[in-house]
Amino acid sequence: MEYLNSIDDSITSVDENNIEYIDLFQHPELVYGTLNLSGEGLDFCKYPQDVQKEMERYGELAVKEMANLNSSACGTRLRISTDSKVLVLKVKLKRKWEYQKMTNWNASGFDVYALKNDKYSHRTVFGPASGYDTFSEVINVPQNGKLCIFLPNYNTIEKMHIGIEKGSEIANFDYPEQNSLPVIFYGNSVTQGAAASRSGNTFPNVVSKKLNRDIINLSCSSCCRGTLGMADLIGEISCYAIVIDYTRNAHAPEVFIKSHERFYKRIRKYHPDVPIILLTSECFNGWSVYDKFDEIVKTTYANAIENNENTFLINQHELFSADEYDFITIDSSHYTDYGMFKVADEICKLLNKNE
Amino acid sequence: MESVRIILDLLQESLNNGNSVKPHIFKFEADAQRFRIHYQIPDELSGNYPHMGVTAREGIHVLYRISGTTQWLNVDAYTYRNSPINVNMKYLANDDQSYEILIYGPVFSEIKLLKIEVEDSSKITLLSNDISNDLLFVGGIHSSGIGCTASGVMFPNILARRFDKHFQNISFNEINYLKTIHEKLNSYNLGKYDTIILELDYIRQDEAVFDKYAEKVIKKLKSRCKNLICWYAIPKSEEKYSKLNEFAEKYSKKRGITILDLSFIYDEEFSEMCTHSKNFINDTGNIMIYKKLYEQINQKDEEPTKSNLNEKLRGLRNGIFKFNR
Repeated sequence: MEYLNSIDDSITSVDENNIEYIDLFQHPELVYGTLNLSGEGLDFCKYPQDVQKEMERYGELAVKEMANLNSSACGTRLRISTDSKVLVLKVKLKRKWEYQKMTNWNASGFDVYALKNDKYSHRTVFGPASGYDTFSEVINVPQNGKLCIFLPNYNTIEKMHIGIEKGSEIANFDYPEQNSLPVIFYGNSVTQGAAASRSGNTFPNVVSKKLNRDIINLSCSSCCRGTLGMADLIGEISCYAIVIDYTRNAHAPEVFIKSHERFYKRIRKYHPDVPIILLTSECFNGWSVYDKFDEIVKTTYANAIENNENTFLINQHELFSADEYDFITIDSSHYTDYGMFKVADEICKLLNKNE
Repeated sequence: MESVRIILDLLQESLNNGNSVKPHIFKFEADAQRFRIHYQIPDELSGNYPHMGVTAREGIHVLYRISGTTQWLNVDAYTYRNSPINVNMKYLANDDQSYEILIYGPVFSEIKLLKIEVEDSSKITLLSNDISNDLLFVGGIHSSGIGCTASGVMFPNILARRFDKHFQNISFNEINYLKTIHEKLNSYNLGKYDTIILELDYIRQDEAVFDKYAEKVIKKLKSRCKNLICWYAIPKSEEKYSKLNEFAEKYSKKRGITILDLSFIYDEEFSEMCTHSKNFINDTGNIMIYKKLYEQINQKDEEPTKSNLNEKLRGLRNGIFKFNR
């Protein structure tokens, strides 16, 4: 990795006379998992203004986090097919400082996989050290030229240039047609991916890898409030399945009981047949209030089943034995990869069963 | 917090008790609904650590359990930037319950200040963090916690919690750490241990260093314990891997020495979840190593029976070498 003052600086690790660059923001087709709301080029922001504005009802923290994270590259992927032997990435990120309880290979990390016959094979991961926001990295391209790069979960890509060898070509690499409808994830900081060891290892991204399927991760730390604007947004996206990890950010059972089933039903109206997976809370330190949250989730689920809806429940506590609770998360709720993979496995199991 | 308060100086108390080993571990018992942690480190660290959480490098990891119970649960992980840290126990312990708090110090930083503040109507007692001689960890990059998000997830710390004890960890964040262990071990004033766990090799350690020091370190450590468990985790595609297997064979008949091959964490099935890259394991790599070591330690005193023989055979099929008897 070379640290740069400007994304336009030249680098020493390759002969740039032999490299031509494209501006990623002029090539939205290379990035998967965005909504491109602006309709002009690549747009990482997944929240329309009215949804962002909804956070004003939930206090300063929600407003601040939505402003900070609305354009994070969480859950997005570069999928590339090229005959160039190397890729040169030059990146300018919005944030230069690391987050607590997160590695920079997750928050600001680029997690690189080779793709062959729908299988992902990990090649490398890179991200800047704390204190840096502009850098370049050279990636060796596998022989078949197919790469999937999971982008930073807690940082915004402000500028990005992709360099390929002169005379070579670069194009997007689509999911197989039957896997192109996305799974939508809606949740909190956990679902956004905090505490995964690298950006490809959040549970939504693990689901994407395991199923080789597109996903859209609409999770935003502290902003998962089950609002109607968000339900309408999810309702308008054509999708394969929806995972709702809405619990903790509701703060109080009195708030949650009013909003959880209402949120679910609003989405269900738009998607009468799509599988919807409801998750109970991820709380593993005996914080008893979350038992009440879980009862509310279970009630929403029971009502949906009674109504013969295509709805599933994952009780996150039941995925682990109690003597694992001190290491599946690094605090009360944020999963290590051990937890992320268990949740992803369970989601994949349900989706495969539903096919 | 109100003006009347009790301050417990955990760092000073710990040093007074002669416990200055790293990583620092502190314990106290309290019944306060809230307490405050004052935490400082001498200097912020510089360096390139995109694979580690700042909470592991410079921070503290706080766990609790209700007094009289055995299960530790997470409170949170913090850095000095959070100090003073307000910890609300109201939702975790009932009004009439006392609880124990366990604090892991940082992997890299020294600690300048660690004090606990509670209101004076509350009870707060320092708990012993004496080091047990049941187990000693000796190792390099992986045993040091490199690649972890918080220090409580390091495999030596998970294992210590399971045994409800504190164990010394003599590990070096160095590629050629076997040489350093050989050179520095005598300066540690070691006692006699029931079991010593040695991280035997690291992917980037020079082969010449391994060849020169591995046997010497094993001999030195074996003289200090009844059971020496050496483990390694190297991708099986590496040339080094087969050399290590040959090395392990040599010890197959040595009483009291077990060599565990934990390289399965680099297998296709596990590497995604357990490793950052060939060079670094992550939190889950630590969890998997803890699980295998725990199994091994619990097996060591078992009389051979049909059922545990089958278990051992299963272990062999999973790539675990057991050569200690």
